[in-house]
Amino acid sequence: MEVKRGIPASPGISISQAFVLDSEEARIRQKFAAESEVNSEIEKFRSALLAAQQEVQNERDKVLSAVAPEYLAIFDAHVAMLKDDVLRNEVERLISERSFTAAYALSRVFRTYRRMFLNSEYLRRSLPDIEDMQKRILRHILGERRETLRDLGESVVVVARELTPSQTVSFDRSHVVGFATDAGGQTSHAAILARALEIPAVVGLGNITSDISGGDLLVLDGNRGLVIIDPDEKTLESYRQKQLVTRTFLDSLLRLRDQPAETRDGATATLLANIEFPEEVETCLSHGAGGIGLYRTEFLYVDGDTVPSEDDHFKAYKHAASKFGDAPVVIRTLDLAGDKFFRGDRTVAERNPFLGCRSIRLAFLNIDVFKTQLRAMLRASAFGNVKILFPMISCVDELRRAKLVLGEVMRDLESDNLPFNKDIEVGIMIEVPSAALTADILAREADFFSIGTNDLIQYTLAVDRVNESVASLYMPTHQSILRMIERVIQAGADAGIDVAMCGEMAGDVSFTLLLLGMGLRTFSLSPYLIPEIKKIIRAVSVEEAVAIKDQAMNLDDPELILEFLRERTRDILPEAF
Amino acid sequence: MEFAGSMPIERTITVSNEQGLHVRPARRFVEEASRFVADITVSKDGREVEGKSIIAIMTLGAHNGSVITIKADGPDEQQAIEALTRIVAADPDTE
Repeated sequence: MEVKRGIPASPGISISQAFVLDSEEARIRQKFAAESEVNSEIEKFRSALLAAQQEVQNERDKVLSAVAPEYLAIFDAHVAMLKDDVLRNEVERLISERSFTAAYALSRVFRTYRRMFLNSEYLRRSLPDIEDMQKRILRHILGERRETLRDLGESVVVVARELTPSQTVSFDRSHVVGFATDAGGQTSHAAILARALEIPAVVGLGNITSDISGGDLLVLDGNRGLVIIDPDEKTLESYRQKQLVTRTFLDSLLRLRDQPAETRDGATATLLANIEFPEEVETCLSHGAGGIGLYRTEFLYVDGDTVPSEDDHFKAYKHAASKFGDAPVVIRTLDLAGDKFFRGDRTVAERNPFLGCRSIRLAFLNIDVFKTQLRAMLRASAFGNVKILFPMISCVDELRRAKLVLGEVMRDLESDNLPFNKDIEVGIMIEVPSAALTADILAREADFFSIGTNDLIQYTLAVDRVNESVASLYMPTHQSILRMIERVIQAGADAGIDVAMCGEMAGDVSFTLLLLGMGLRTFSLSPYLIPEIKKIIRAVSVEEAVAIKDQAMNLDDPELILEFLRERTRDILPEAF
Repeated sequence: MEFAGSMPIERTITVSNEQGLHVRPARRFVEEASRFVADITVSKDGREVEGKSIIAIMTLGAHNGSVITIKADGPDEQQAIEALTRIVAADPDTE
C-alpha cells in the first residue's frame, strides 16, 4: 500500500483499477497470470516485441526517401529499444518470478524508466520515445481485445500527466469513475470540469503516472486529495463504508431537485448554475438549476489555437439557451487575461496583469472579436432567455461603451434579417471595488448585477490568493467585503434590478445564511452544490437569517465571523461540514 | 564473456557531443558497443549499467559535460574503448 498526496480537485471517493493514459492508452485487465500461463505470457511478450519491431521498420521504410537521415535515426533508435536485452530480460523475469501478466510486467518495467526520465531535466524530452515504445508493445500484447478509453468494459480511474478539457469531456462517464493527474491545480479547467461532471479527482500529484501501473487497484479520495495504491483490506473496507455514507447523503440531496428553494417563511431564492462547457447543461438540469447564472465562455478561446468563429460561439450558446426554455441563461463576454489571449499574437508583457488590459478592456481593444461573440449571443437569444453579462466593469463609461458596441451589432443583425431578442437584458459583473461602491450609479444603466466575489476580494484586500505567502490574507469575511456586498444588494433593490452572486461565496454553505440575511435571492454556483445550498435555504427563515447576518456584522474579527457562520450553519444542517 | 587472465580496462571521459547520450547518440553508442565481444559497462555518478542496452544507457542521463566511465572486459577491450570514446565525443548529426 502506498499513499500519494495531491490537491483535492473534485469531491467523492472512487475505488477502481487504474488506467494509465499517456503511456498505455489501453486498459490492462489482469495483473496476475495463472502458473500454467506463465510460458504463454512470455511467448506473448516476445511476439509483441517482434511485431513492434516490424512495425517500426515498416514505418521507417515508408518514409525512407522523404526524410533527412537524422529522422531515420530516430526509427533506428526505436528499433534498438525494442531489441534491448535488458528490457526483455526484466520483463520476462517479472513474468516468470512473480506471475505477472505480460501487460502488467511491461507496465512495471516501463514505470521505473518513466520515473528516471521524469526526474531528469535532460531526459524528460525523451519521455515521448519511451512512452511510444510502451504503447506499441502493449498494443501488440493486448491485440484486438484491447480496451481504449472510448470502449471500456469496466470502471477505471484514469491516471494521466495532465488532462485537457476536451479529454475530460469525452470520458465515458459510466466507466470513468475518477481521475488522478501529475499536474494541475484546483482551478485548472480539468478540475472545474471534473467537479461539474461529478467525477472525483485529485490533481497536482507530482509523478503519480510513474508510481502506478495499469491494473493496479486504487482508492481515490477526492475529498482529501489522496490516492492510495494497492490499498490493504482495512483501508479498502473503511473507504467502502465512506463511499456508502457519501452516496446516501448525495441521494438525499438529489431528492430535493424538484423542490423550490424556499425559506421556512415563504421567501423564494433562485439557484442558478455556473458553467464553462456546453456539456455541463445536463448536470445543471439533473441538479435542479433554475437556469444558468454564469456561462463562462473562455474555453472557446483557450482550448484551440485559433479565434473561435461566430458559429462556434453560436452553437455553444444555442445549445444551452434552447435546453432551458424560459429560464435565464446568462452568458458572460470574454473574461481573459491579456497573456492568455490569442497565443503568439502581439502580446505585451504587463508588469501588473491583474490591473492591466484584461477582460472587458481587452474586448475594447479587439472590437472585431468582441463583436463576433456578441453577435452569436444575440442570435442565440432567439432560442431562449439569453442575457448578456459584461465582466470587470469599473466605471459607468465602460458600461456605456459596451452597450454602444452591442447596439451596433444589433443593427447589423437587423440589416442581415437575423432574429434576436431586441429587449435582451444586459448586466454587469460587480467585481471591482470601484463598481461595488458606485453600484447605485451603475444600477441606473444595467439591467442586473452579478457579484463576482473572487476578484472583488482579491482587488479589495490586495491579495493574490494563489500566492502562498499572502494567501492567508484572502478573507471573504473581511468586513470591507461584507459591507460592499450588502451595499450592492441594497443598491439593486433600490433600483429594482436583480442582484445575483456568481462568485465562490455563493456556493459555499458557510455564507448562505449571511447572504440570505443581506437580502440576496439569486445564487449562481456550481451545479453540484445546488442541492446542498437549497437544503440550507429550506431549513431557515428570512427572519433568522437577518438576525444571523446582524450578529456576524457586529463581530470585529474576520476569522471569528467565519467561525460564527459555520457554527450557525452546522446548527441548521449538521451534515454540512 | 570472461577473458581469462586479464583485468578489465576502463576510461573516464567527459561527454562532449552536444546532445549528450540521449536517444540517437545512445543508439549509436550501443550499436558500436555491440560490435565487440568484450563485456561493456558504463557508469555515471556511481551507477553502472549495461553498455549494450540503449534504454540502460539513456537512463544514465549523460548530457554534454557529464563525466562517465566506460569499462570493457574481453579480447577486444582496447579497440572497444577507443571506438566508444570517439562516439561519446562526436556530434552524431554532423559526422
